[in-house]
Amino acid sequence: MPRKKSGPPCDQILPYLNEDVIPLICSWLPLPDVKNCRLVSRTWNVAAKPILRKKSVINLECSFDKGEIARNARIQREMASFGQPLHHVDIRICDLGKIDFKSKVYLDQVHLFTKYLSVHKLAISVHIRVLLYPPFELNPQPSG
Amino acid sequence: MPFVNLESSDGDLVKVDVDVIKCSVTINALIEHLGLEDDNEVVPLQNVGTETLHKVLAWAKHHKDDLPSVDDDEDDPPRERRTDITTWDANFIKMEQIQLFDLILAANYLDISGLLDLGCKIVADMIKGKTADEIRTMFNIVNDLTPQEQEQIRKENEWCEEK
Repeated sequence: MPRKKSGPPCDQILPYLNEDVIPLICSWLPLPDVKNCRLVSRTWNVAAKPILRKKSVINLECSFDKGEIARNARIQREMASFGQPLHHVDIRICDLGKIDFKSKVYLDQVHLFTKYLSVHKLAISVHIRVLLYPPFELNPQPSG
Repeated sequence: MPFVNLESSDGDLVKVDVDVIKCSVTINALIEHLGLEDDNEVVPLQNVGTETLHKVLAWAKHHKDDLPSVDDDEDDPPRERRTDITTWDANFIKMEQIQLFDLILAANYLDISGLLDLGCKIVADMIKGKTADEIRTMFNIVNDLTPQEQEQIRKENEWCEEK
C-alpha cells in the first residue's frame, strides 16, 4: 500500500504518481531502469513488476546434472514472490542423449517445469553438445 | 451539441468545443451518460484543476485533427509505439515537475492516451540512468521497502535478462 507523507520538504506538494501511470512510464524504459524502479518503493515495485516480466526472459540451462536440483530449489525460493507460473522462461536442454528418465534429477526438472513454470508458453530450445576427444585445434598453425 | 461546459475541481467553468475534447474517453462517456442536450449543461471534473484543464485543452486543440474519433474503433487496435516527440509537443511539455505530474494524472483520469503517452515518455526520460535512491529524491518518494524486500527484488532482478 502506498504510504502518504505528511509534509514533503519543498513548498509545493508533488502529486503522487499512482499505480495506473507507473507501469506506463516503465513501459518506455530499458530493462535496467525497470529493475531500478522496482527498488523505489512498494507501490513502484508492484507497478513495475509486470513490465519487467513482459520485457525480460529467464534463461535456464538444463543439463540434467545433480547441481540442477540445488538450482531448482533456489529458483523456486527466489522467484516465489515474482508471481507463478513464470511464463517468460527460455530453457536450453543440453546432452539430450544422456537423459535418464527415471533419475531424480530428471524428475526434479519435470516438477520445476510443470509446477513453477508455465509449460505451454516456455521457449524450449534443444542444444546437443558434441564433445570431441581429444580436443583439436580449430585453426592449426602452418608448420612452416 | 457543439459545445460543452467543463467544471474544474476549483469550480471554474470552461466552455469547450465537443470536437476538441473528443480525445477524452472519460468526457465522452460522461456526456453520453448525463445525456447533455444543450450548450449550457455542465460536466463536472472533480479530479482536474483549472490550470491543468487549460493545459489539457491546449494539447487537445492542437491534436484534434490527428486523433481518431473514440467511437470509431471499439477493439483498440495495437497502438504504434512512437518514441519520438514532435517539436510542438516538446515545447508544450516544458513545465515544472508538479505541473507535469498533475497533467499526467489528469490525462489518466480523462483517458487521453496520446497526452498520457507524452507525459509518461518525459518522466521515463527523467528516470533513465538514475538509481532508485536518485528517483526517490527527484520525485519525493518515501522508501517503504524493508531490507528483506529489497534483497528479494534484487535476486528476482538478477534472473531476468534482456529479451
